[in-house]
Amino acid sequence: MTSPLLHVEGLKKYFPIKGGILNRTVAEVQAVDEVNFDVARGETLGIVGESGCGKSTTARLLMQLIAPDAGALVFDGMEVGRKDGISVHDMRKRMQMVFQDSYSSLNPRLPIEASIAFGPIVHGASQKDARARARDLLAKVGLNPNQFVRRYPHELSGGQRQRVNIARALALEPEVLILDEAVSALDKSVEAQVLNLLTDLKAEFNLTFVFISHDLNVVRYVSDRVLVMYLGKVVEIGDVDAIYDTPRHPYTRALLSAMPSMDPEKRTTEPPLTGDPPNPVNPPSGCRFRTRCPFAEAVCAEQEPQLRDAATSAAQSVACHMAGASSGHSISSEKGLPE
Amino acid sequence: MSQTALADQAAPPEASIKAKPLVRVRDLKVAFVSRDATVQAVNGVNFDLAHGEVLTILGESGSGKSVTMRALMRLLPKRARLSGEIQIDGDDVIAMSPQSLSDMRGRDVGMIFQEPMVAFDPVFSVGAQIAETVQRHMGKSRADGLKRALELFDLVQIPSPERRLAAYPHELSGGMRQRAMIALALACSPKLLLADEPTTALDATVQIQILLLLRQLQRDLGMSVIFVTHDVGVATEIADRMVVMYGGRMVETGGVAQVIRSPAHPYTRGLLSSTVHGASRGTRLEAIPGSPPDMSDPPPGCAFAPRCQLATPECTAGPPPPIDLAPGHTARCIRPSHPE
Repeated sequence: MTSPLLHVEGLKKYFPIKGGILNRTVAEVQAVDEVNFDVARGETLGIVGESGCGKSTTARLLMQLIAPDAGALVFDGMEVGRKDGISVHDMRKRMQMVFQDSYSSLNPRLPIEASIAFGPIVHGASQKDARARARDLLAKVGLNPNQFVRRYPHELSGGQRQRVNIARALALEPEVLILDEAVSALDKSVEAQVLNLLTDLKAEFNLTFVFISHDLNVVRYVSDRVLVMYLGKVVEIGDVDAIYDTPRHPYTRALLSAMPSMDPEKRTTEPPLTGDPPNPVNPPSGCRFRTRCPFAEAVCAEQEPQLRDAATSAAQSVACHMAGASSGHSISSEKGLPE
Repeated sequence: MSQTALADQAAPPEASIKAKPLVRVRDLKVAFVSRDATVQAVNGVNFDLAHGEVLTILGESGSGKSVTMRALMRLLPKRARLSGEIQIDGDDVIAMSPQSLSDMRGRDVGMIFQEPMVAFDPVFSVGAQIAETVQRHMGKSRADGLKRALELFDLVQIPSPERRLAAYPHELSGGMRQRAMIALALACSPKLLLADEPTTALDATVQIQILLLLRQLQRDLGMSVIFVTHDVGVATEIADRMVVMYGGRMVETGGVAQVIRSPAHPYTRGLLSSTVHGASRGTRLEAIPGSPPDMSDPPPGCAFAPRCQLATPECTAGPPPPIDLAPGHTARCIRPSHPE
């Protein structure tokens, strides 16, 4: 088995909340806690979850835009940030990111060509080569270079700006693209265009995608595997069809059934979950989902469930006491979630 | 085609026979005038809303859906030029005096927004603000107002309502704030509720709770609702009737099952087939090429023609008339897809 392109282990990030006269840390936002996952070369890993789950923080930790408090990131077999591994600077030539807000991602004072050429110039390319690369990439993302090189970000529509952001991300010829809600702010008809573009580019440049989104339909469409996060933890990870057809974690199942029905004759009658997602400042003890889980028992408050293979398939791992035979939960089911 | 003929085609047939509609809009046009340009945001909209009916206006950004709804309460900036006819429960909204408008807003018509913080004053508790509406519109005392606020918090299923009444808007979580805003909008038992993308900013599990709550409240209180959204799934969950807007006009109207199952207008068909729901991985999505029109220079004919695969020279000659496809189902297109 080939080693994964990205290996993430024990990733942790807590944000301090300061208060009081001496500005001491009074509490911590436990944004990302003990997150582990791999990304194989050429695959698309979808990351889903609601606000506060830590998916965007995870993306920024991968790019080292913020420094993790603990954990290791191994890129192509080399640990990032270590002398005997790969430097952050070099890693960023091979992994790039596209953000949700297409406007604030671009320097409003730079024409489009300069924005795209910026990265290559920083990494040592000549002005001439960088500009040629920019024009080339604009064409690749479906924008006519003659029309767009001299324009400024405010003159473009949201969809066009996001294409520019994709072109810029590709300028350094990376192997991995992290797309953090990259299509969420676009109108649906434009979203379809940009998703088609991403499919084409992935094939042409042999890319690997980490696709973060709250839109479960889009994630199902683009992903090979899916990771579900809740309050800073990974609750389930596996092949996309396994996750969508047979979710093993109660939260995954609730999230999937919260999608609005597309059939007017079969409308939703009951909300799958009540209340709001809790605060990552003081997460519940043990399993963080237990306060909203219909199957919560005493063991769920005492012990945190570890991510383990779902009994039905090795293509799916779940962190839930119901999935393991000897966890102490009264419903330990090999067959899947109870109704 | 006369204006009344147009109107009858947009109205649900049963309602126009049985009872007068609660809302009647004819040839509504809204232009935003500035030094640089005049943007024709709404370019001739006609519809009726029956009592107790839920109408969703589906459209993307720039379609004119939010402006149409705000025009109903005359919540538009000074530079907006309004023309046409708007009647709510028989009253002419365009001719209303500022005092009558102020009375109508909150008492007869309630509105909920995408961002609850917009609806609430941050320096007063939510309970006080709801009580204020009741005092203002129904002449009740403050004590009665607070009692009503408590009733409403129960109605919108806010847990520990007594405690929450004293909370400030920023102290409530997203879902709670949205419920509090619904409570505020319903304070005076309005006949009409206007909802402008109220669930767009909410997480999926909270969104479905709010949608179900709205549906239940609408049923229990017999309110009419106009719900603006860009999300087909949301529209499907909540609508009785659906209107699709594009380029400042209504391009298709019908019962929700009619429009979702047998979309007739090329734009509606394009929108529904480019949704990612159910699309097979690896196959290309059928995206609509191009982008929405620039409304400072609206196309003379059909606004969708520049992007439409079926467009002919006739389409650009003038705005297409509404074509009847089935009872209650119309599309403004000279080449609509007829139901199977």
